[in-house]
Amino acid sequence: MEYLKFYYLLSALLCVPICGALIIAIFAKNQIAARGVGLLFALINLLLMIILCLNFDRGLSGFQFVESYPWLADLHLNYSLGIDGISLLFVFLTAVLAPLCIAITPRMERIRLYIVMLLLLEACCIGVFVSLDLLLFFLFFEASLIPLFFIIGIWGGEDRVYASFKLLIYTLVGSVLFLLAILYIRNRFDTMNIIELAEVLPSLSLRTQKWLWLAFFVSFAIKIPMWPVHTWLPDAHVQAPTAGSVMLAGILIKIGAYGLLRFSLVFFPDASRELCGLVYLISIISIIYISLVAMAQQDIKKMIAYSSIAHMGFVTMGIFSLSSQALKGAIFQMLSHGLISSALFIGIGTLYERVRSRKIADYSGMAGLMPNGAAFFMLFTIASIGLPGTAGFIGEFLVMLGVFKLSKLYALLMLIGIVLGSFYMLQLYRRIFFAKTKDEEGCSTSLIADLTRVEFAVLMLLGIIVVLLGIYPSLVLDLISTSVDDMGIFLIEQR
Amino acid sequence: MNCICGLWLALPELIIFSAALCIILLGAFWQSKRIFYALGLTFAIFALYAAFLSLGYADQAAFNQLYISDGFAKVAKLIILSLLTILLVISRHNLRFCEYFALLLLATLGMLLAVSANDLILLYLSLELQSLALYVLVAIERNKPRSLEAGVKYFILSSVASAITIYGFSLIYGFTGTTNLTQLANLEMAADMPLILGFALVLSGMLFKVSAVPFHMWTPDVYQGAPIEVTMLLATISKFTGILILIRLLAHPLHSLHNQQIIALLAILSIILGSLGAMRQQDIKKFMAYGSIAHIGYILLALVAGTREGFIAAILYTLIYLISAVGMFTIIIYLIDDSSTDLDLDYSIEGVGRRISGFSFVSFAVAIFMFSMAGLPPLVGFFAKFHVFMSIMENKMFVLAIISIVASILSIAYYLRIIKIVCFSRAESCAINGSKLLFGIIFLAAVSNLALFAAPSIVKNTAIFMVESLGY
Repeated sequence: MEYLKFYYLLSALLCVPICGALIIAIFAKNQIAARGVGLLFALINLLLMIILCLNFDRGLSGFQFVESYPWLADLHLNYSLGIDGISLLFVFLTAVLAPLCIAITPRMERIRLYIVMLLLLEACCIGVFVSLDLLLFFLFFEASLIPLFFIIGIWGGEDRVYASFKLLIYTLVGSVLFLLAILYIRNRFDTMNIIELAEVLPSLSLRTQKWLWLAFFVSFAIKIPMWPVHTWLPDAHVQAPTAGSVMLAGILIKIGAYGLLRFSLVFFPDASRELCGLVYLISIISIIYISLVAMAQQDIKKMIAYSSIAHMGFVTMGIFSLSSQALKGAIFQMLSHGLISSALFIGIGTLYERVRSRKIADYSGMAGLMPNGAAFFMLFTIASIGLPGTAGFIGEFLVMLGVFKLSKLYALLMLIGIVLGSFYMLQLYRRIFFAKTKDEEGCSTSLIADLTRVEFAVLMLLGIIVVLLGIYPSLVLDLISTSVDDMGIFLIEQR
Repeated sequence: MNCICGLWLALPELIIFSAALCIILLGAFWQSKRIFYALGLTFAIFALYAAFLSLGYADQAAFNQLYISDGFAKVAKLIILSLLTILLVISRHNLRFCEYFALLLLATLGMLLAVSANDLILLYLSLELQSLALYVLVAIERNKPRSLEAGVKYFILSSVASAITIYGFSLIYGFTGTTNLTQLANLEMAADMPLILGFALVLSGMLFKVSAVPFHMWTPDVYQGAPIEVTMLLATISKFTGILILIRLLAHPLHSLHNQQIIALLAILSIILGSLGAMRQQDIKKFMAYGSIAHIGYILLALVAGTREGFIAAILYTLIYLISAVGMFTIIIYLIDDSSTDLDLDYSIEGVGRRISGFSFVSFAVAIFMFSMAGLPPLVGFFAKFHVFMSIMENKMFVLAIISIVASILSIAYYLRIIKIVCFSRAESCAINGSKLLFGIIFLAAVSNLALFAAPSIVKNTAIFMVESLGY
C-alpha cells in the first residue's frame, strides 16, 4: 500500500515537462515569464525526482515503480515504465540538469519556444531512461532528436543548419539499423518488453546475435559517439547554444552508452563476448586519437566536445570489460562526465556571453577579470582530468582496474589517453585564464564582469555534487550495485 | 434483385450526382459564385451523412452484382466525402465558376463509384468519369499557359493509361469469361501468358493513377500546372481512390496473378526516385508531387506481400499520409490566400518560407507535417512507416526491408530542407492574417497528427475493418 501512492510517479516525471511546455506554448505571453514558468516546472520535476529517490529501495533487485498499459496491442507496444538503480541515476541527472539549463538561459529571441523545446527534450530523455519497452525506448530515442534539432537549428551559431542536419541524419542512419533489429526481434518473439527479452534473446544463435548486436552497436556508437562516426558531435556542440550543449553532453550522449549496457550487453551476451575486441579497438582509438585531435583545436567548445568523445571511450571500454567493477566504473564515469562536461559547457557559456568568441586565441588573463569563474573552471578542469577527490577520478579508476585485469596493454594505452587529456585541458586553462590580459582591447575587457548570481549558484551546485561524489562515491555505487549485480550474473560466469 | 434497394445503397453517390446536375443547371441562370459553393457544400455534407448512415447497413451487392456496398467501400466513401467537404471549404477562398464545383463533384462521384465497383466495367466507367472531370479541372485556369499545358499533358497520358487498362480488362475477360470481381475471385486462374499480360496492363493503368514509378512522369508537371485546389484533389482524394482500387483488385480478384518481384522493384524505385526528385525542387507543388511518389513507394511496399498485414499497412499508411497532405496543402492555400494582392502567385519553396517567416503556429505545423511524413516519432507518421516495414519483415523479406529502410533516410533528408527553410530563417516575424477557417483545418490536422500518435489504434482499427471486409 505504501508504494501505491507513488504508482504514477514515473508517468508524472514524463508529464510534468510536457504539461509545462504546453502551458508555456499556449498561455505564456510574456517572453520573460516563460523562463520562470519553465524553471518552475523543471523544479517540480526535480522535486518529484527527489521523492522518487527517497522511495526507491536500493536493496531490491529488478525494476521498481513499474507501470504498464497497452498502447498498440497487436504491435506488442506497451507503455511500460520502470526504474532500477542505473536508470534512476540518469533520470536524476536529467532532472538536475534541466532546471540548470533553463536558469542559465540568457535573454534571447523566441525564448518562449526555446524553453518549450528544453522541456520537451527533458521529457524525451527521461522517457528514454525509464521505458521498459524496447519500442518505447526507440520512440523516445528518436523523439529526443526533434527538440535538439530545433534548439541547434534555430538558436545555434552561423553554421547551425549544417550542424543540425548532420546531427539528425547521423543519428537517423544509426537508428534505422536499430529499427531493423527491433522489427526482427518483434517478429521473432512477439514481445517488446525488456525484461522478457532479456530472458529469451540470449538463446538466439551466435550468428543472429552477432548481426543484431552489430545493428544495436552501430546505432549506439553513433549516439555516444565513437570514432569513426563521431564527427557530428563537435559540429553540434560548437553550433549549439549553451543549454543545448549541456543537454547534449550531459544526457543525450549518455543514451548511447545506456543502450549498450542495457540492451547489447544483456540481450546478446555471447555476441558481446565475441565482439568485445572490436569495442576495445574502437574505444582505444577514441581515447588516444581523439585526445590528439582535441589538442589541436582552436575552438574551446570543440576541444571540450572532443574530450567528451575521449571520455566516452572510457565508458565503452568499461562496459565491455565484462566485469562488474568496470561496469560500475563505466556507469559512474557516465554520471561524472555528465556533470563535469555540463559544468564546463556552462562555464564556456559564461565566457562566451562576455567575450562573444569561442576562439581560444581571443582569451587571455581571464582569471584576473572573473576570479570566481576561474576558480570554478579550475575545479571542473581538474575533475575532467580525473584528479582524486573529484568525481572524475572514481569512474576512470574503476574502469582502469577492470581493464587492467583484462589486459595490461589496454590499460597502458588508456593511461596515455589520461595523460593527453590532462595536457590539453591544462593547456586550455592556461591559455584562457592565465597570461596577461589583452590590454589593446581595453574597451572590451573592462566590460567583463565576474559570474552573475545565477551562474554562480548553478556552478556551485554542480561543483558540490562533483566533489561530494569524489569524496563519497558509495552514494552512487551502492545505488547501482544491485542492478549491476542483476546484470552481472553472466559477467561472473565468464571469469 | 431489388432495384430500389440498390438505389438506397447508392445514396451518397446519388446525392453528389444530383448536386452536380443542380449546379450545372443553376449555373446557366445565376452568376453568383457563392451560391454554388454553398450548394456544393450542403450536398457534400448530406452525402457525408448518408455515407455515415450506410455504415449501419449490412454489406450488400446491388445492380446485378455490378455494385457492392461492403465495409471497405463504406469507410472509403466516408473518407472521400470528408475530404471533399474539406476541399470545398477550402475552395471558398478562391471561388471559381460553377463548372469548377460541378466537375469537382463529378470527379468525386467517379471515385465513389470506383471504390464500390464490383465489376470491371463499372470500375472502368467510374475511373473514366473521374478522369474526364479531372482533365478539365486541371486546365480550368484557361488563361494560364501552365494550367493548359498540364491539362493537355494529363489528358494525353491518362487516356493512354485508360486504354491500357481497358485492354487489360478485356484480356482478363477474354480468358476468364467474366468481368465480375466476385466471380473472378472464385476462379482458379492459371498463370497463363495472356492473363499475366492482362494483369500487367491493369496494374500499369492503376499505377499510373497513383503515379508510381515508372508511370510517374505526369505527376510533377500536372501538380505544378493545376490550380492548387485541384492539385490537392489529385494528391489526396484521387490518390486515395487509386490505392483502394489497387487493394481491392489485388486482394482477391487478381490475387493469384500477384507478382511480388515487380511490385517490390517498383516500390523501391518509387521511393528512391521520388526522394531524389524532391530533394532539388524549388516549387512547393512539385515538391509535394515527388513526395507523393515516394509515399506511393511505401504503400506499394506494403502491398508486395499481398497479405492481411500488408493491406492493413497500406491503408494505414494512406490514411496517415492524407492527414499530413491535407494539412500541408491547406497551409499553402492559407499563405496564398493571405497574399492575394499579387496576382501571379509564387509557389516557390523559398517564397512560401518567406511568407511564413518568423515563428508562428503555421511554421510549427509545417514542421509537424514534414516530420510526420518523414516518419519520426512522436508523430503518427512513424506508425505508418513502422507498419509498412513490419509487413515486409513478417514475410521474411529481409533484403527488401534493408533496402527500403535505407532508402527511407533519403526521404527524410528532403523533408528536413523544408523545415530548414520554414523554421530556421531569422527573418522578422510578421503576422499572417489568413482565414480562420483554414487555420482551423491546419490546427486540426496538426493536432490529430500528435493525438493519433498517442492513440494509433483509431486509425489502425479503421484499416483493419476495411481489410477484414475484403475477406482477410
